[in-house]
Amino acid sequence: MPQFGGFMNDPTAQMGLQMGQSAMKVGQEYVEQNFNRYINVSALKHYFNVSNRYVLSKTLLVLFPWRHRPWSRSQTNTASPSHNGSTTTQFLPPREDVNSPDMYIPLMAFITYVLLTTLIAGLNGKFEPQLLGMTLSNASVVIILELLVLWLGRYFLNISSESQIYDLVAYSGYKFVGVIVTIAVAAIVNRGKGTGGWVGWTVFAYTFMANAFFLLRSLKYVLLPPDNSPSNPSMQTIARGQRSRRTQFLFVYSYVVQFAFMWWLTALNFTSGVPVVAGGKGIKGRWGR
Amino acid sequence: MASYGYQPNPAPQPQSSYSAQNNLNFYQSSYPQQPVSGHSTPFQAAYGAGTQSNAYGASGTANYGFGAFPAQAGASGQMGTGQSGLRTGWLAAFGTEGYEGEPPLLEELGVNFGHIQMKTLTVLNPVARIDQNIMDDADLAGPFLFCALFGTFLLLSGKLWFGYVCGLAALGAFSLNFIFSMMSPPLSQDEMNAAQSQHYGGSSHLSSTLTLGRSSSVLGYCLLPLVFASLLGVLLPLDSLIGYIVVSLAIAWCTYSSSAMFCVVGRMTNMRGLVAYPLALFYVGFGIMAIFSSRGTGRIDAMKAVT
Repeated sequence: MPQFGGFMNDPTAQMGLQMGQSAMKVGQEYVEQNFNRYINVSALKHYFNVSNRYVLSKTLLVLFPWRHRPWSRSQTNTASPSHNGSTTTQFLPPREDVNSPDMYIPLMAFITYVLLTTLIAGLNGKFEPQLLGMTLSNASVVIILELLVLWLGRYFLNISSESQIYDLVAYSGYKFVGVIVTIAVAAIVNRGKGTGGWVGWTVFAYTFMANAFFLLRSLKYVLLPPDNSPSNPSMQTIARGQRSRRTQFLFVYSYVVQFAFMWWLTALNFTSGVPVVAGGKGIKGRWGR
Repeated sequence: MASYGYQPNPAPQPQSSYSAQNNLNFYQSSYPQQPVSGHSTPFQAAYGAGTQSNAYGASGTANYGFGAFPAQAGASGQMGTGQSGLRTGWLAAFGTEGYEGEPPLLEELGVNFGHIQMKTLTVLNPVARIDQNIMDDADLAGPFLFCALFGTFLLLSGKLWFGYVCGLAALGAFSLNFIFSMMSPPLSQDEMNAAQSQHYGGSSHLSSTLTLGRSSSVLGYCLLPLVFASLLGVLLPLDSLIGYIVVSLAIAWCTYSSSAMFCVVGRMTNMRGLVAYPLALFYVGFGIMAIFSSRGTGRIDAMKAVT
């Protein structure tokens, strides 16, 4: 007599089950493939291949870049994937090269920034859970705008290689380290009243200059690569006009753009109700309650 | 993605004779017996091996639940004998019996209290050595329970923040899973072959043994010290020096145990500090919610003082 679940004993039901399983497997592979088209997961893994020593030295480097000597990224010669005997050069991962950009530090700094502002708001007695979301959205807007600037810059400057864009995205996140230091120091000195006052502005000026110097030195090798580096795979010498255009972009980016964004992120005023960015309206102002 | 591991079942001898009598099976199934893999749920194990278990014996159970078969001869008039189908009678209607050989409800749902207890004790014991296979059955029953407890204790101290707890937990689980699967070293080739052949459930694309289910499970279990801290927050406002100290200790404890588990499961033991920092941030988020509240900032007491 058939048992509970006995319909599964039929070959037809079994066949249906197998078809369902293979359909799901095919569907999942399709999704993963298309996901891989937008975000190159294996390239991203390179940016998270960090070690303890790298993170410490890189954080110190972002805050104190003045005396660092060689800024060029190290390369390694590996066998070419096409097995025609030639060697391709690739950049070393962050684990082995302190000049290599990573995405671990920017991501951690971003989240730390959100939590730090929320914590200071809470210490002032003005915590609301919406604050976490608001600060996250605020910082995300900054990141999206910066990505927009980089995207436009990529078209205007003819940056072709994909890894260069990821490098630029990674470098754009390093300013959060300076922002965190500014907010933390100002909070300790001002007793949590915000980042105004001359201590806040001094620390902000210092971290801004350090970040600008760091970006100038590092991005020089990304935007104006020497001829035989991996970021210039087609070995084209960059034309002179384009070279000067890229240099201009580099200066404008490192100074003006970063100044605007860092100011936006650090100009927090904790005393007027909700920690608002200077000029914003906060929760109650926006919804009028 | 776990394969469901539903093994084809042979028809035992009594079954085929019955169905031959009543022409209920469309085909006589002729699949060979296959051992049930260790990764199937107990429910499937019971039904996969159901043909061999003694619970069936000579009597089968009628398959009413799926409505796949027309009414059987056993349905009319042979009920109440316990030979097939559910027992009839008003006493049995108020009882909790079901079909014969049916596994208990918790086992069907995959809620294994023994495992939950073992994992909870591993979290609570900071000096315990963590077995690498502790997270192989990544259940979410324990984590859901702990998140619900956390929300309940926050409710008891005056805040209705279940939604925020849920949102933070979900967002944190997704992003931490992403970060750790990026950071974990790629599997060597024979590890990947072994994983594929066992339907390991790891994600082959990201080539790691960390899946979203496992990450969420680890994060949820290690939330337990913060649940204790929020329990303390029911009694005394946490927005005081002692509250800060207690919550900081709880966060440190959570981070310590979860970084230990993630390092073992993700094979990242030399990067423990780097693994611990995002986890610390995640638990600091929960800690901020526990500390700062209407009761914590003394706003309720201030309101009471005014009236």
